[in-house]
Amino acid sequence: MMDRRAFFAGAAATALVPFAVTQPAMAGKLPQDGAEWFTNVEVKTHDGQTLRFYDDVMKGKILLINFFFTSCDNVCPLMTENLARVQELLGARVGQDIRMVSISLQPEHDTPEVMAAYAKGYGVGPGWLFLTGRKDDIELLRHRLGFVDSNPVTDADPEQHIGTVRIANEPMHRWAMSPALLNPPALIRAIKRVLPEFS
Amino acid sequence: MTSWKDKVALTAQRNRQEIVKAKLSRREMMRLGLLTAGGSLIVKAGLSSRAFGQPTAASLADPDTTLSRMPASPPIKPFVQQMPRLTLKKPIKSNQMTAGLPDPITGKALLLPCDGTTPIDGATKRIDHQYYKHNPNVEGAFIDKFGETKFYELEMKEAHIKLHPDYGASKVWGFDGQVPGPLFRAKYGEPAMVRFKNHLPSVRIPQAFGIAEMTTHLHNGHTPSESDGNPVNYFNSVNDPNAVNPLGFKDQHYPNVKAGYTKRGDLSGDPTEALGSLWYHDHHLDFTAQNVYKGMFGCYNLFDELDTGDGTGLRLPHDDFDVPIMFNDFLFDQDCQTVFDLFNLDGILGDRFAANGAIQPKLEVEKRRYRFRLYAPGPSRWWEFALWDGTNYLPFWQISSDGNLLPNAIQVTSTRIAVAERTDIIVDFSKIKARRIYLVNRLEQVNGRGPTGRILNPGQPIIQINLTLPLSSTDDSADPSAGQAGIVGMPLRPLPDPDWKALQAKAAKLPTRTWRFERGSGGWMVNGKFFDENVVSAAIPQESEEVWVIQNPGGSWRHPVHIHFEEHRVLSRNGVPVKPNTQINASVDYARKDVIELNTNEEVRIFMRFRDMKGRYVMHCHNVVHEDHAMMIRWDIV
Repeated sequence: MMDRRAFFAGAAATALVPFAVTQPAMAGKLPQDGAEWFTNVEVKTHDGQTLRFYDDVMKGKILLINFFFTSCDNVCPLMTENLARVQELLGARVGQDIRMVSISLQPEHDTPEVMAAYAKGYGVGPGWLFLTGRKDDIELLRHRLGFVDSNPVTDADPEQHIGTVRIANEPMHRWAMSPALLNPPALIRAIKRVLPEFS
Repeated sequence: MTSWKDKVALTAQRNRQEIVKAKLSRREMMRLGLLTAGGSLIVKAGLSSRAFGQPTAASLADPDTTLSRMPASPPIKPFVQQMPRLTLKKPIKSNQMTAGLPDPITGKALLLPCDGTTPIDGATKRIDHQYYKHNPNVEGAFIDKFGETKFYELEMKEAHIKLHPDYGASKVWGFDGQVPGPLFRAKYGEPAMVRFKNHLPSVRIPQAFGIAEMTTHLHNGHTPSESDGNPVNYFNSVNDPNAVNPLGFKDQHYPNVKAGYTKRGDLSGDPTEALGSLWYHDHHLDFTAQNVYKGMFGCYNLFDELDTGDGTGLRLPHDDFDVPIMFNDFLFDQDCQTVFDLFNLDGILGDRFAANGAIQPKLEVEKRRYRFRLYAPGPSRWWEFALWDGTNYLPFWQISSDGNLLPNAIQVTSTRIAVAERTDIIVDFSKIKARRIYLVNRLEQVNGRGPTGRILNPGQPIIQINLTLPLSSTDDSADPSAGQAGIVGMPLRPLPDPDWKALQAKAAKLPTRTWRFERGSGGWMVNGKFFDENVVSAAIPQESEEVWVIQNPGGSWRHPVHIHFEEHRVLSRNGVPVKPNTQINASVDYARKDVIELNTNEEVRIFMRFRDMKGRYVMHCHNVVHEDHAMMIRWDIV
């Protein structure tokens, strides 16, 4: 197995240098952009902050967004651990222009304290936010971010919404999706696909 | 006693350590019992769906259909503009090929003939073309295994096009700035080297959707892997000069050779394997739907000694009377810009219908026979075309399935194509009494998951056809009825395996692979797995034959499944063998095909060959929204 440090140096550090968007935000108004689509519903983070979802969490960032819940014993741990390795590989960029976001599908149970303990167990570093909030608000976010199934029975099962990560280059309005369990180097490649500006 | 917080943290930490120990490889996860053999995760402690409850917020829009949550397109008056004919692509000399941006002083671009190499893997590597060799001692000299190469350049660029006179200009991306891109009329025995020049805006310029890196697939050419438009072979624009491929181009070699030449040893291939109506489109990993919807598609027709394109051979209608039509559905915002729903994984539909880039056009025709090549570039809409005179549906002749000539013309009154399928038809306007008829789409589709199956009456009119033009010349084309009554018409191209029983018997003994196209874990999967470009799901020996079983366990969606590289034969659907000279759901299965209409709860068995070349290829759902959400596998010929 490749040494993490070596991988980081080879694939991430040289390729994923921070970039500045050279153009202003989209001139025209897009139907799926900004606070109007992603909403500014109030979310609470695992470290006790209260944030507006679009303005404080999303705006201007490269984002990895997934859904999870702490009581999901077998599936979520694999994904959270996988994403923890992605965070290690991305290094200091998480917390700068890259932000990782995990939103609880069980917000009534996953209080900031519960999520803080969960994050601690995975050695989650800065720049990765675990979010909870009012149940209706979280449902709205889930729909707006496309973590939905057209079959209502399937849609009601939270296990169906935790297999994928949305990867977004928010200022460029560029969105893609990756399996949450893709091996970390492949997931890094998927992140690079939404930000070719690194070159 | 430890606090509950410590317990949560400890449990999480223990989970993590176990996973770290297992290094998270698939094999290890399976050993741990965390993954099933099919690749999906074992769910043990999930919440029951009942306990979680239903979405309650009244503000939640219908999740599955774009049209219900986006404003409708601005209104138009239909049938006021002519349907455009596609621009014919002309070859250039090899020493006229250019690369990069024009020099700011001279205004001239750098002259740069093919050097026999092409970039792959996000343009990070450069490899040799397999069958086109450069002579390093003589500039511009080359050896093509398959004949004398023709050279073309296609410039991918942004353009502003009015799709309707009532609309303002829409920003599109197109090959040569056209939507659809220009028409290639290529010939077997004349290989083509096409230089794709990416002159799209820099990736640093924000876009509503789409990404300005491109990899073009010629659907369904018998193409060497490095020129196949593999999803990972995208390359950057010339407007990103600091990117890995600063001159922003990629040469793709199309041998225009029929499959089966290796065994025949003749370098021309099996004449019964000729393709006819092909098309080309972007295939960028994760971004195919967005880029195709942005306009990155065009037409490529292939001719040979039977389907000659000049009135000889089978004497099919030719030149001005051989008309490819690409059908799209778009959704526009109030500024007439196309809207792409980025958060709809089922597929996206539009409410405006375009033919060759014009919304609901009219077409003036002579009272003679025409060949129409009908294309469905997607992203997600299926079509069932019929000719309606205001009272009746008029008969016409279907002569191809997926653009490949059938053994015989078949008289039909409608023809269905899923995304990426093609059908060629011959309409004899001399036998139609009405002065005005409509090409209508009779297939109801209300969301991206596929058509409902309901047949509309009369259907959505797409093109108004006026039988008004005077006859410009005598119609020298053959009458598809061949002077006979009945629905089976003139013979066209025999099938490679004309003995149906022998083929079925052979297939029963062949190695079989099963591919299940299914929904899972929030995306679209094949055999319980999401696409990973480094995972080879099937390594197939060259020159081998196999039976593939394509399954759809889903009851509410359909998948147009596309396999690159070679045409297949459908053996059976749900165990029922297909029949010659018949339609199933208005489609002809008894043919050579490259797209499988995989309907709900269906299992389709197909016969496959893997001949002549080696390398990596893909199979994927051609509802390209499904493809982008990982419904794809890589298979290699080894």
